[in-house]
Amino acid sequence: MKRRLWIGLLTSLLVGVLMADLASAQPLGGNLTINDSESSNVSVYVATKTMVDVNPAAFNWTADPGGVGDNNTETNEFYAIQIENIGSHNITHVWFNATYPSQSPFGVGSTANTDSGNYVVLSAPTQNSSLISNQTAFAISLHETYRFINRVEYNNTRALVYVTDPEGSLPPDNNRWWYGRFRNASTEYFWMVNVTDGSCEDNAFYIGDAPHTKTKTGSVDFRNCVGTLADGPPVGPGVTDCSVGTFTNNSVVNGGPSATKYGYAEVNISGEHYCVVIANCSRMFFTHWNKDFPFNLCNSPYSEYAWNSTVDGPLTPGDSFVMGIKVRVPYGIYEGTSNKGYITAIVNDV
Amino acid sequence: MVSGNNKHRIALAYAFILFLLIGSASADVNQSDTLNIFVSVSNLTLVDINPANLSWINIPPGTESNSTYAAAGNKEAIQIENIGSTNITNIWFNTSHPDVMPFGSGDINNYNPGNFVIIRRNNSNNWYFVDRKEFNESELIYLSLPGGGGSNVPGMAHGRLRSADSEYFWVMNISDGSCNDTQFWIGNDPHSQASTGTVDFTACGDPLTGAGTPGDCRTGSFTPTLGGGWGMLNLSLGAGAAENYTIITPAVCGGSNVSVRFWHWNKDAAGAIGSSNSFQEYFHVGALTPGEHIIANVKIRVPYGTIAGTLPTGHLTVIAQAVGVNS
Repeated sequence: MKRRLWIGLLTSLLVGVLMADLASAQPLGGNLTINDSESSNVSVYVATKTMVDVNPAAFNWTADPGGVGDNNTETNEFYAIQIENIGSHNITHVWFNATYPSQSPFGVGSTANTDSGNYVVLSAPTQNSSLISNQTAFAISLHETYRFINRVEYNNTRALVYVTDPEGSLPPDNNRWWYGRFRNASTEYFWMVNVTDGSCEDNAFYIGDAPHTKTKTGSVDFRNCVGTLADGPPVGPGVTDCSVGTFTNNSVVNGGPSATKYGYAEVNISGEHYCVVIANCSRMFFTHWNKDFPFNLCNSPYSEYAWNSTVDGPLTPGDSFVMGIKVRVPYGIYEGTSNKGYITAIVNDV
Repeated sequence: MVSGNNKHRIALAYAFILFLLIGSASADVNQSDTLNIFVSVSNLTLVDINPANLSWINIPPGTESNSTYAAAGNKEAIQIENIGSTNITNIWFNTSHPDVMPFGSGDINNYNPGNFVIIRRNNSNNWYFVDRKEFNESELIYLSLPGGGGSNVPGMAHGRLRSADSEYFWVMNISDGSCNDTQFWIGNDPHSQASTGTVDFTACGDPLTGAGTPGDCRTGSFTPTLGGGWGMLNLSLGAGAAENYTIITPAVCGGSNVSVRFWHWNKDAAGAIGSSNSFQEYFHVGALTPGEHIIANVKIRVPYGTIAGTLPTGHLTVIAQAVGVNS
């Protein structure tokens, strides 16, 4: 009898424990909130694409002839462009093209032949955040680095009575010399090419060292040029004030009347380095940030990539850099809105 | 006259026939019995999604996926099936995120394709990011920030919601290092390869929600949530207000430690409420009975600046919840 009682008590205790467990797990008549989850893997292979984005998309300057348009005269006070790698591949090189007039815009009496792309200068590139975030520091640091992308000049259509050609003719002999000026805002540098044999691409090229301005005549006598194209402006009293060199012929002859003949030279114009290219004895390019053929035949510092991975490292996807931008408007540009121009960033990955 | 022998034979024949009759009658009687089967199925909430892998191949940056880029077996959709025993009440999603700013890092390991995932209901045209995480970035010289107008205003962080080929610039005031109640700005017009988009945030005229003005920007402030650990706000993205999101940011912010999440389908995120509205939704509400299934369409929006190659694997997780199950 006693044994039966113990079994009964133990059984009751066991049932009691089981009931308590059940009650704590899910109260009778209560609600359950139960979650479950499962995942799916997301795998993506991104295609190799080389792409670039330049911002802002538009600039609008107001400038005087012979003046410089900068952030103070730009509608939105933009002072620079941001070049971003929006592709998926490291960018090796970035360079630019700029539009230019197909014939001389000077002395036309309208804005018909103007092209604003021909006024654009870009500074050296930077990723320095302390410079980018401080416009004053940016302006001071990069002030001396602005260069044209690819400024185009044509010969002077009227004789310049104050210019003497290398053979002593005043004004220059149009049958023997093709001449014009490198118009750099308020400063203009006269240049001359010997065209007597009709093949300018391997002839002598002369350029003045002293600029012509509103107040100074500049280098206008080309009879005694002894400086070389690459040595820059003369230093000290008594030195001659023009430089001379010979174009390197790198013509691409297509065999027809439209054959393009190129000659190129590396030229230091008052400290600004350019790759000067004459095409078909009819158009003179002063290029720095354009590395298309034949401008790529010139070396640094005359012709440079805006981004060069050899120097700057690869421009990785999503990364960007900045270049200051201004316009240098020549004297003699017809008033009003010059025709819209374009600058184009070109990239490659090699 | 029948002889005695014959009588005996006849009696035997009758007896044999009677035996046969009795035997065949007993073979036609069937016996049957019934066994009752009692099964009690436990309350179990289980969900299964298929396929287990979604792959896209050779997709260019700045692209929303389509069948051209979907790998074999990827229908750009997943089937979500209730393989449990309880009615599923709510379904939502999580996605994996990058830990650090991937763009410009040059490191493929910093990217996470879970961050690219957009989902819509099978009967809807409205695609939303599940939960897209964005970081602040270094100076963009063409932005005009609030509180000064330049592209570099102390205390102002900026980034962009990168949605394939459309990028919406945003700005956040981080000047006091506490972002759960700070002011937020976002452009209505996207930045693209062809358009600068909204880049001037000096005078935003639109509120954060509702129809927006093309060319303008929206502004408003975060509201502290989750014990003040996060700030949240509701946003109608773009001028057309086609995509609505809940935006959250950690309360502690500063320097490069700024991130913003634009989520719609992740009801685990900070700022989640117990119901759906136009800014945050459960993907499915109502009884999804055991054995029933639904379809979610899945795409990815690959931003510009995404590095080429096979990105680290991301994850899309479906969470199923059974509420109010009677035991």
